[in-house]
Amino acid sequence: MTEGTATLEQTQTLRPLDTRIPVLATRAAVQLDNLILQKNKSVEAIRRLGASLRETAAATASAVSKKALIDPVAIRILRVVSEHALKTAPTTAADLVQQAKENGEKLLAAADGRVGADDLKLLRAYCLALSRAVASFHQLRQDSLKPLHRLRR
Amino acid sequence: MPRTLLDHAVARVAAARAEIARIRTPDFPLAPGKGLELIDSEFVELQKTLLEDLDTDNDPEAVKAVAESTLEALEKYLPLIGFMLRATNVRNAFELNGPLLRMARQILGSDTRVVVSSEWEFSPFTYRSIVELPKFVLIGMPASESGNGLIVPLAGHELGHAIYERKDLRSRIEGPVADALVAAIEKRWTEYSQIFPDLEKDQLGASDGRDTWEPFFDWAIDQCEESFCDFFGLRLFSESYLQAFAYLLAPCLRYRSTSYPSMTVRVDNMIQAAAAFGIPVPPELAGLFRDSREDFLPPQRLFCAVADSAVAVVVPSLIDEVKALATELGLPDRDDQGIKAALRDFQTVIPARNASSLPTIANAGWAAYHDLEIWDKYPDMAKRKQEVLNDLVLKSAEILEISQRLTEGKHSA
Repeated sequence: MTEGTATLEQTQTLRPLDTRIPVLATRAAVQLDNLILQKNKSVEAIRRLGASLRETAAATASAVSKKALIDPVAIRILRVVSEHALKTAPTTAADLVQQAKENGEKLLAAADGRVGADDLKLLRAYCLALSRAVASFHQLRQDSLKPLHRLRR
Repeated sequence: MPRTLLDHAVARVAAARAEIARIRTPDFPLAPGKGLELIDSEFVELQKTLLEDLDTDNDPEAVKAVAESTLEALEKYLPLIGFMLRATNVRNAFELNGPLLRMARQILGSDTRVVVSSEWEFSPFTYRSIVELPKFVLIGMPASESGNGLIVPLAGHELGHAIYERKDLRSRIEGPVADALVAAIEKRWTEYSQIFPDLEKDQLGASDGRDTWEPFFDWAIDQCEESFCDFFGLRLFSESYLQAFAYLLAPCLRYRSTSYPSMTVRVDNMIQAAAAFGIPVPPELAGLFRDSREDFLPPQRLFCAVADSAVAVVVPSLIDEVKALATELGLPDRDDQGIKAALRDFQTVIPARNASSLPTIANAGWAAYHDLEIWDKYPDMAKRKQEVLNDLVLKSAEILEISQRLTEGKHSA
């Protein structure tokens, strides 16, 4: 029996901390860069990341509204992203979620060619910071779970 | 931006794809082969970006980010490629694959794929849910034990990780764990405030307070997950889980991991869960274990103690969670009659003819293992008891699989 290939395109929705977010965000940054350079290339990653960020916002907003004692991990990451990418980063969880939602919408608008060069640059910085932050989170988690071996350095 | 960085990245991705193509021969088994195909598709994405989207006039930070992504992908996927390759090694107990897959599908859904492989680490393990490999459960056994059918109950722990993620249990326990953690800190406030002198007690729930305890909140959450998986493995495989656990891990590994409860607490928790599930506990079990060394510095010792206290509060609810899940999933209860029947077959050195499940076989296997006189009448067998018993267990698993396939065939005919 031949089975189909589940490509990135077929798996439409990514969860907030999906391990594929770093690559997707990097690809979106490159595609935003191409928009800044006015190259006529694919915007598929921008569109997918935009949708994913909006989903992140929806998924984490409910947790925030419950006033949980601990911030969802997604909020911790969004805070890191914001601090790296923006001069005036929001501090409250609700504002971070709102910012993620807005950036998701801006990315979708960028994919449709409705965003100016300055905003494209901001979005590019946001995507690069998001890629790094989520990748670091997964790397740290991976390292902490890796069994240590006394002979291994 | 010079081409060097781009060229290196392009070459690295091409090399990885070539390696996958070399491994994935036409006769490569279906599940690991599908895994390789999906991993390859991730490299295809990267390759497309490198070759089609990027050029030397792109923003240097964006170019570096893509190059970095290729390194991350290699770091992430190479171990998985190795895992898929080792799944085909003849050292593995292939007889267990069918029954394990059946079990996994009952728990996780009919589209689940299971890859059982071996690892050169002395610890059974699973990969956390890998979004690139949806519906896959990857179970690794230590290479030196990967042919040992008696340790198959430990796969129950690894299936526990999969159901824990699938049900998003973390989000349900985060609140209670955080509450318990703050309560535990409050009880040891004098010591805690020595480490964080600027922090007020009433700030513990606020952002500043959270920053102090978030790192060991994660320890507590990890411990809860591991405890849940122990309980799930226990509920699935009954006392054979405890036997396999003791075989592989008693008395303890040398150093305490903050991701797990201490060894004696872990065993006590399992005994508590066994009582709740109505599972008999081998009387000598607790005495086989001791705690690992905790070479922590004083602050870390306090953080770990606080995390441990929080986990202790949540453990009863984790046991209840497993009980509820067992009902929801229709997991069979321990089959006492079936275990006795399978043991009788083992006593006459034949595979279990009518075992209803893998746990029944494993429990009978461990009962035979501990019966020191089982083959007194067959001295040749008794001399090679471990080897013969393992063969019986694996053959029994094969018979179980064949009979279940025949039954399914009858029903679908």
